[in-house]
Amino acid sequence: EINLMEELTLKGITQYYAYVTERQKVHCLNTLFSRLQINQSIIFCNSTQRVELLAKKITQLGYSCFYIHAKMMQEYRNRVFHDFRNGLCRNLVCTDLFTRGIDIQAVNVVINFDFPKNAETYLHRIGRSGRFGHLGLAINLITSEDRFNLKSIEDQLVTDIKPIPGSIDKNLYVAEFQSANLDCEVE
Amino acid sequence: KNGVGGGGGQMRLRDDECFGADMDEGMDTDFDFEANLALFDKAAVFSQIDGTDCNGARSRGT
Repeated sequence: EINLMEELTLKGITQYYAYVTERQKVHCLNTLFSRLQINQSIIFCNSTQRVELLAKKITQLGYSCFYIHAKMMQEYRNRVFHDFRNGLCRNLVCTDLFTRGIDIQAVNVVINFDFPKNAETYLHRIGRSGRFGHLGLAINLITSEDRFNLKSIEDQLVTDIKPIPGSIDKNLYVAEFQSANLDCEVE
Repeated sequence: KNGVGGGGGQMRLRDDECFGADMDEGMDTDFDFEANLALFDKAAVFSQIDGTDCNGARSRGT
């Protein structure tokens, strides 16, 4: 098998965690929506059922979202993803469908509503192909049960997921704020 | 490997906790990130994981 992990990188992605209980997750997400400057976001859940439940909640909270999961027909999934890619909707809720990482530049925030169970999944969700000098934000909602996975994923990917700060520097993930910096770095 | 499988009932319970009606309370105020982060000392938890093979169920703080 091809080792896809080598193609993806966490470079340029700022990774944070918020510590929550299951009961607090939606509240936490709602606050993230209101505070972050999201161009487009992808929100990952660990089951089909939870994708549907979360998409419903997000809609109830007054935010627009699409959702896709593995139990949907491939053709329909493609269409929804295509529409998302074309910017028809700001937020996409999904299970692990992307085997080559997310390749949408407009996505500046990825949220692990449910923390993944292994490093490969984490990298597929958060990592980028590294072709673009792309910056982005990854927010992980961590429960007490996730602590073992958090540690093993950090260890395996040799990365450090930091506690979410009171305010997040827009230079880290908002395009308008980045352009000046990138100009300096490229060539 | 840790035996996680077959927790259908537990999964449903988690889904209820997460998406049930009573989680809507307090949605008009901001989630308190700082207070919750204070409940999780990552470095301490990690060194505890490193130090103990049998992960004690002590850290629940109930």
